[in-house]
Amino acid sequence: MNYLLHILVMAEIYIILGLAMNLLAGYSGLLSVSQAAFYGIGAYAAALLLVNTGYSFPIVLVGAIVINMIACIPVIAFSIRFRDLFFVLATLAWQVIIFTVLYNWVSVTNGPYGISGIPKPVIFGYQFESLPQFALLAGALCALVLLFFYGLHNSPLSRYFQGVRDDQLTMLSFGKKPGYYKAIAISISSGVSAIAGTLFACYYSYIDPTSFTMDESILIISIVLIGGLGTLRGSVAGALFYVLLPEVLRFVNVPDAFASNLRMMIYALILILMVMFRPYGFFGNYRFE
Amino acid sequence: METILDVRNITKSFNGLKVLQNASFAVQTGTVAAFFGENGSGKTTLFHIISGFIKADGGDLYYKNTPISHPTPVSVARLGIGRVWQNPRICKNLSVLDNLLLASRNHPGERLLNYFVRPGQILAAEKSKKSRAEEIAGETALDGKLGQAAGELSFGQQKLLSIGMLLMNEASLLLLDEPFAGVNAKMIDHISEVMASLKKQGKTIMMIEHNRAKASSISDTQFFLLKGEIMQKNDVYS
Repeated sequence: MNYLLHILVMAEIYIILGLAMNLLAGYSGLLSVSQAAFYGIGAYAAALLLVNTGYSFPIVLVGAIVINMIACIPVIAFSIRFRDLFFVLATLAWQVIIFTVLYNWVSVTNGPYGISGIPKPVIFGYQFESLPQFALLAGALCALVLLFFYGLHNSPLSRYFQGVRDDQLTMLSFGKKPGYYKAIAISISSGVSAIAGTLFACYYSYIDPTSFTMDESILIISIVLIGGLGTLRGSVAGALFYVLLPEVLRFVNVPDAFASNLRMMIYALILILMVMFRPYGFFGNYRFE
Repeated sequence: METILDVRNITKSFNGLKVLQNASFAVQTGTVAAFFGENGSGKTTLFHIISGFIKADGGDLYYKNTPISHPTPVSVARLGIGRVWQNPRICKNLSVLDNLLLASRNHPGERLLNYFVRPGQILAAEKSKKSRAEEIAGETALDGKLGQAAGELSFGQQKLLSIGMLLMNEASLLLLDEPFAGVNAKMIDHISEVMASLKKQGKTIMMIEHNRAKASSISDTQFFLLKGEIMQKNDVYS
């Protein structure tokens, strides 16, 4: 049972990350490779606040969101100056900078040793200590994030994000500033990533920089590419695919010495086949040209 | 009749090559002005300058007798000068309705803050803008295609959608870059009818066109560009 609940918690965290990434890549056409950096900043902000201040979980969650939204200002500056490949390179640089800071700012982040003893969430005196309780909390936050993105998807704002993605000249021609909508999309995406980071930090009670590497950013991108860009169900499907597939592959009966590598090879092969034969992902309505 | 756009001594060079030389002309409100000239004569550069996409090296632009200082695409669009590109610039993954709504002017849903302070206004505006979009779709013969992805429209229909988007943007002066290029005779007639209808509504149209016969038949003034200089048609043929 605990095994299934663990998978559920991970799925909930990656659904939130997938939805945040989908706002950037799927709606706004901004292929950011610094999503793990925001996930990490959120996790560290929450961990430091919980360990050092003892604030309650809701305050910490809001604090992590606000800190992440402030931390995304340099990426907003990139996005207004650069686009397409240059934006990817700029976010790549941001990912490397944040990882380096997390790894080397020992006095704050404890460097490679990470932060341990992160307390479990407490809301109005109720502690989410056990795995079922945590799964419930993560599920509730995941549902709220889904609801938020559903509202955003049906709002006029979504149209402007998609306008930025499809043709920035069109936006300019009609007096709309693409940079304004990019800034909003990046801020929201960054803030939502902080929710996933906070859950991650509380769930494991320990974080270190290796959870927020470039590999993690690529994985988050692959979630939305597999699930499909520009739709909410695509992000959910992509996250479920990512979390469940390695678990399914555990049952492939091969010697332990090869099992891990074989699982990764099968996973990579499925990714390649998806790109070749289903470029829109499972449920996407848009793909990068 | 009032002058809507006054262009005075516009010059532009690219790497020493003079593309526009002291180009001066005026367009009257509610008229259709056609611009003819060989490829490379500076017609599109002129439209780029008026719509703020490139900066002139010298000269002045006046819109409704007010100088346009430091024109940018956004500031020019907000003044009421709209542009249709030779290859229609539309959001191909969005529906026809969403393209029209995207172009609408002063939608409160454009600003994030309004979602917190004026959510009711956004809902009301969305309703009224949708109703206006349906009217414009009717005027541009795109009714029945509102739910269709804009990228699935024919080339001619995409041009009509671009014109519809200008109307949603409440542009008073419409710059149309080769509206008849790449479309069949039936669509040319149809676009001409839409332009005639816009003129009746008081809109001013400037168009670049190679189909001189058709453009002359629907325009009030013709300008001919020759090596970056502008002459009125009478100047050329007299």
